[in-house]
Amino acid sequence: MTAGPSPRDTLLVVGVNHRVAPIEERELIAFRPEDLPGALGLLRERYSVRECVIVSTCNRVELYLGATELDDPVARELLLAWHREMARSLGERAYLYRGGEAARHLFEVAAGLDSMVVGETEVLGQIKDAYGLATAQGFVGPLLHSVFQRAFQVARTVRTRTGLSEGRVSVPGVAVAFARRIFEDLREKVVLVVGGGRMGRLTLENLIAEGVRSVLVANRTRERAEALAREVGGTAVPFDGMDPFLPLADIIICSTASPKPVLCGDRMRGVARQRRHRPVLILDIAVPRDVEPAVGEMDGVFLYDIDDLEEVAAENMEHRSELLEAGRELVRQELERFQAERVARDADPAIVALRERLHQLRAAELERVLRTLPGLDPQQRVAIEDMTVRLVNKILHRPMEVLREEAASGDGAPLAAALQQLFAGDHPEAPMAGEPRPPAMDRTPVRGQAGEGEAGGGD
Amino acid sequence: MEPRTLTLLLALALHGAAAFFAIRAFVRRAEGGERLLGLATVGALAAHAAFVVVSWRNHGVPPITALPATALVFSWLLAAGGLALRRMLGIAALPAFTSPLVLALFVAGAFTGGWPGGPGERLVGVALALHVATAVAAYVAFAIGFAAALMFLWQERALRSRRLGGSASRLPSLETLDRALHGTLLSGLPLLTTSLVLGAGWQRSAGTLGQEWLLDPKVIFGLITWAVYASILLARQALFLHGRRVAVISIAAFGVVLFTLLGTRHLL
Repeated sequence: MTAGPSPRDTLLVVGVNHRVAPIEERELIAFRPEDLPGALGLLRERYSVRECVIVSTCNRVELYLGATELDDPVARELLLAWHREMARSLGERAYLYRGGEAARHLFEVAAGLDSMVVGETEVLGQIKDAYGLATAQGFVGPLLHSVFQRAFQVARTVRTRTGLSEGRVSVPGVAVAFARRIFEDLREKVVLVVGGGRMGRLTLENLIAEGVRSVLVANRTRERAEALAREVGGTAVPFDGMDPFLPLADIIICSTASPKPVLCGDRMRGVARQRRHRPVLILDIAVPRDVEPAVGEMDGVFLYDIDDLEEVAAENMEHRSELLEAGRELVRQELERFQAERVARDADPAIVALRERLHQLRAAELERVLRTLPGLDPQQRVAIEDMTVRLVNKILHRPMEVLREEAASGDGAPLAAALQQLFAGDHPEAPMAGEPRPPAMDRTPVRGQAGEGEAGGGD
Repeated sequence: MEPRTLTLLLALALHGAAAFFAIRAFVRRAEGGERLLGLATVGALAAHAAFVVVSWRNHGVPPITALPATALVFSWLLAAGGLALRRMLGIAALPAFTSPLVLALFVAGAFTGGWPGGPGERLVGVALALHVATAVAAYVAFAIGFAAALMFLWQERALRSRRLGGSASRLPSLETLDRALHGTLLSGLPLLTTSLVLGAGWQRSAGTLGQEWLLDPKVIFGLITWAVYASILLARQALFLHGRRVAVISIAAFGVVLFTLLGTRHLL
């Protein structure tokens, strides 16, 4: 299904994260898992995008694209293509990175360096899921394959070498801390899990580890509710009939993929009355949010959404800035290595072909000349041959040097193509300009942060 | 220096030190703060008790026959209660909220000149002693409830502000504070009821129960205090009041207690 990479295919990322948009805006353009195949198809059909991975997590909605050159407005339009009702202002605030900057961004996201909770590990699993889904749908080609595979490696390297994961305070950890500040004894509390999100499950596990014994599970898919209930020793309750169970719950964890709020103000007012206004902790870790913000203003109701929890987790991280800096330095090194590999891969065929072509010409001319000089002794023949080799090497030295420099700076493709065209001609072993080659990593960042303009991969 | 002055200054200094250490331990966890707080409080209790005994000897009557002087007993019991109940209630930060009140009550009791004198005001008898003892015990309960209510609001504000760190991290859970507040209401109200009944009984036995007694501001505000706390408890039981509102009204209600104790003499 994936079309072959074009010589002008460029890695591009367009998206919004917690830094440029609060949750009430991010949730408007979040993708539900079931939306992803349709959204990918739309992008290919309408915008001729060759490769695409959509990463829609709590902190971000991002499109990683392998596409021919896209103008900025078109790239931003892509982000909103699936969500027509979305305000244009969000599209304008979206960041857009190309080439090396896009790869750097992906590496940092995968390593948890771009998360609100620096070093969190959940994002890597979410990216792998998004990548797996796009691959299964045929939307991952050589460009995204190489950069995502490297991102997974970089994430592991950063995690093991910086100790980021040890220093972090997780979102479930923060949720438990809030629970302990509200309730005296968690062993007596009832937890209701609504939905089956990954973070919700982790939060539940943390609460169980803190002593929670009574768990109710509600899921639109009854089987999933029963499976989770079996796993944690809880009870499955019907999703559409959970009203009688809401007043029993002291802690409610919401992590559904519902596009609309599951718990609204009217519903929770009745619940608060039935609970005789005993405090209730609601952890809304879904994007889009499952609980109306007004619920959090009710007396005795403590509502925290994912931004609240992650912000607290980020604030409580020890040595955050040092670890972040160390992580970014590792990403920078890994990006340089990755780009160097791509440079070598991109430039070497042209260099090898050019060298071979000139030496073939040299050998052919040498043979022709030697045939006209039969009186030469072997020593003289060797001297002449050495002279031709040195001559070709000297002629090649400067072009090769320039070609490598240009490739390293990302602009090698036109020169390589020109050299091939000028010198390789129609030599059967020489790759021609325009033939499929390793995909490009355009280095031109449209909007970047520190390091903008660093060497990008070249083709 | 006279013994009264010496013990007064000593008690003031040590109550001040206890308040300082208690607040410092609450605001920022300090090494050795707990030990210093314990030592300062015990020292303050000893100096405070010595001051009361010396004053009692000087005046010839115990500090229970006039409300301002009763504040000395009240503050001593509150200081002791704050130290003892912090473990019982699981509220380590309790002294940070009670010790400034103790200091203020001690100053009020020692300096407002409300110590009775002369044989006319010398009132003896078990009924009076019990009346005062139960009233002071009720006030101590309400004072601790006042502290619990303040802590409840502090903790709730931190939770609503999405803050896990800071001083609120040294406060117990909202449930613990709510339980403590409820407990003080449940124990304080019967004690106050008993005190009022004993007071009326004592006045009746002395033959002074009548219109004049009923118009006594001490009596009026004693009854108002009782009515306020009874209403809070009733409303809480009936779910008209809960959570933050109970805390806010309990704080206001303690204002009535303080006025009853220190302000009513100005209405005489």
